[in-house]
Amino acid sequence: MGSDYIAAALAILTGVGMAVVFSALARFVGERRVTRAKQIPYEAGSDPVGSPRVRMPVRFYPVAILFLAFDIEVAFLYPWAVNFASLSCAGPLVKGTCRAGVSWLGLGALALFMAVLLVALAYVWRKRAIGWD
Amino acid sequence: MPQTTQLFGYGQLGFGIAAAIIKILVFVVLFAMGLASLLTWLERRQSAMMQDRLGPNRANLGRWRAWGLLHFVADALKMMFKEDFIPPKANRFLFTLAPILALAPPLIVLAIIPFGAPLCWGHMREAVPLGTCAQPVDLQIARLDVGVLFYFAFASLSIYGATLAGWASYNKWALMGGMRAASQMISYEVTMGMAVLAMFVCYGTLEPGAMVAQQGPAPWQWGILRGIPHFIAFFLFFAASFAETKRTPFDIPEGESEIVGYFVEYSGLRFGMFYLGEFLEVIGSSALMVTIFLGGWQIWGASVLPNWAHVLLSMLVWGAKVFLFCGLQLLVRWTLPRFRADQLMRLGWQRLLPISIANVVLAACWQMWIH
Repeated sequence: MGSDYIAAALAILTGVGMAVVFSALARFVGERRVTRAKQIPYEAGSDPVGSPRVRMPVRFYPVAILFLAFDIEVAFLYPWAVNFASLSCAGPLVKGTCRAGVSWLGLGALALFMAVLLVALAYVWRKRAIGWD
Repeated sequence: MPQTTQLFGYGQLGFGIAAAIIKILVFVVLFAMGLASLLTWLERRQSAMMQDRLGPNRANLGRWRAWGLLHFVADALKMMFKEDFIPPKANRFLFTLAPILALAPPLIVLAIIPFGAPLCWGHMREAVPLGTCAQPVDLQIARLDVGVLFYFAFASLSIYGATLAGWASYNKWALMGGMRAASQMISYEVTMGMAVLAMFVCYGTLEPGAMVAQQGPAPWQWGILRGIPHFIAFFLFFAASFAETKRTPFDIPEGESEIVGYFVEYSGLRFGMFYLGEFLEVIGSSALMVTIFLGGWQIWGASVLPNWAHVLLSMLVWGAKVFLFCGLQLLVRWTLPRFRADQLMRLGWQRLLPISIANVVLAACWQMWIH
């Protein structure tokens, strides 16, 4: 297992390294000739109007907030999903099947969690914060 | 030489590192980069075929033309020698950082993908049935318990690539593209994470190698046909990961014909990095789908062959599946028109998300029922 973490680190290094090499190639191999017209921000050929540091519609912000809320819910569900088989067995789990009957613990936990999630979803839906209207 | 054999003997740290370097070179550098550059040509050529044109067919080595296959080499060379332009008012640091953040994550996520049957060290010329090898070398760069989470963690970093590119360019259209990219990618990431939950309930693990081991070579042994929720999960995941790659019909951040997108001010190889990153994302998501849903490298009856032949054949099967999936994504691009921004958001939040939540509950019930 230890060498797997080293391998993952090597993979990260390779990915970043290749991207950096590409950047360096762009910087040092490509030629540069600066002219005045090139310096103007591209706006389909006409002179730019105003600054690009404009305010963006507020509709983008609820999306970001909802993402935080829901993606954290998903992250909480991962350990539950992985352990679901053992949660749903009253006894020991042998070769993927229950020895001693079914337990409703896993499903009950999910139902409770999802109920809270659905209340939140219904609320933002009613408030028209979800979607794009 | 006894010390060298100790350090590089099976199970030693040196062996692990050497194996990892070889796997990275073969899989990430040669296979993934090669296929990604090939896909850039294939996309142009295929679109030409679909539109009754010839497409790029001229690049050649003297007599050897190969349908213009060498166009990707010509493109790479051309991009390298193009002018490297940084807008004067741009934030230089972020402008340089953005393409790195677009290219590196799709390369890194490949680390957890199993791309072939395990090699049996020391018994490569004998037939070794699956799971009986004493010294297996997994054809998977890193076998991590967090597995798919590692994939999601790094894949979501490429959002920064698009968003920072848009902001750092000091260009209105780039900014619009960046904002659209950010909102689109975070929206579909929720569905993506939620859709695979159904599969984790079924497999009981996050480790891709173990997921492939639980599937079989025949289609009815694949993850996608485990049950109804798993079938639905596949399509949810496919749609969501398609949106993550920002390709048509989800190409609102680029919108070639309207705002050009977050890379409007990029030229040469820096643009090439965004371009290559997009195709690497296509390969990565195809590879992940093949691993989770479509049986990975599993192949019929090949374990009666010598181990090396089994490994080669399994890699071929895996590669064919991934290639077919990439081809499908290219086909879709030239078939469907672009969504509108509101349609996109409604599809993500009001259709796919509720369905995927319901699907998780269904998957849990299904798992209880088969017990």
